[in-house]
Amino acid sequence: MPIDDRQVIIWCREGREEAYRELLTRYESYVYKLSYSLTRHREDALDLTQETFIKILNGLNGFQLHKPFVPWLRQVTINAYIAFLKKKAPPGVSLEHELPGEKTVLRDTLAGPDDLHQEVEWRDTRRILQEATGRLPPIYRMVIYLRHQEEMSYQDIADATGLPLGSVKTYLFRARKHLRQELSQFYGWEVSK
Amino acid sequence: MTCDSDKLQSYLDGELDRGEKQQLEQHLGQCSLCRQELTRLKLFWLELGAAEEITPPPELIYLRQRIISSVKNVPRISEDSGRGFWETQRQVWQPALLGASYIPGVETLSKLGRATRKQIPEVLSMSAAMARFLASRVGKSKGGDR
Repeated sequence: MPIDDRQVIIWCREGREEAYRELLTRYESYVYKLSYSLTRHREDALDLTQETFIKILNGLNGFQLHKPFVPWLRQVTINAYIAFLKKKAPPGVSLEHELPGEKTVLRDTLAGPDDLHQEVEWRDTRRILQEATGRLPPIYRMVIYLRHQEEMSYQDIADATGLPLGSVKTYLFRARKHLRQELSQFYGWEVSK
Repeated sequence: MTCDSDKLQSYLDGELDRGEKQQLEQHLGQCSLCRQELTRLKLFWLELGAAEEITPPPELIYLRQRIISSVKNVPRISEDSGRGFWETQRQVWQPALLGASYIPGVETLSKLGRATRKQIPEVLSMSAAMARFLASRVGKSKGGDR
């Protein structure tokens, strides 16, 4: 019979190494995938995974056992990511100022001069969309991911990220608009006026 | 109600209240442009919701060990009070108990007395010296482990 998370956490609190190993085995892929989706960078995702689990294991005594574990794990990962973004941002520049305005299109955020037109013939829509999402500014990408992959509500995203509710909506809608514009260049995806 | 793509997005996100939802659904019944836009959005939602295939890297196994090593020596609050107390008690009493095990019973004392041709108080004092010696050895070996 599988052992539930609660029991594993109780054993972790007792400092049992095999319980730490079990908890990590269960959730390291989840945290890595979330971290990679947010950072789009393998090494950064590994660093975030390590940082998140160290915080989780050291903070298990404060975890309320009657609550589900995954939302807490996700929250700690998001916190670690936001701290990581702040550390990377140039001094004096807030994360909000890094975000492009309404007129910015995804093309402006491209890291290199890659010509996506040449690749489109043999790439599928999903792949193009994932790549375009990867080129979104970090906050936009985070909001898109939390809404569509983690299926969080606007309010839950605001609570988890510390962003105002209005900003969550704005970033989400802008990000979608950018992504649709990006897609509209291929396969005749239409964008509403 | 006028055509509003943001409203349609909120609708698909499940973020409209009952009144707004009814109003929008009424509008959708009359507006083919919004129905088309809703269909496009639904298709877009499907793509956005599709899970990306991310293969966990092999380094995760090494990372696991590193994480465990970095946290396993941190004292655990919940058990420290309990285990710490008993561990302390064990360490304090162990030498004494070990020494006490070398204090002979009445029958052995008389045997020892006959064998060494000494009085019982002297035999007892020899046993106590032996206990002190053993206790000091235990203390040293514990100190050496640290």
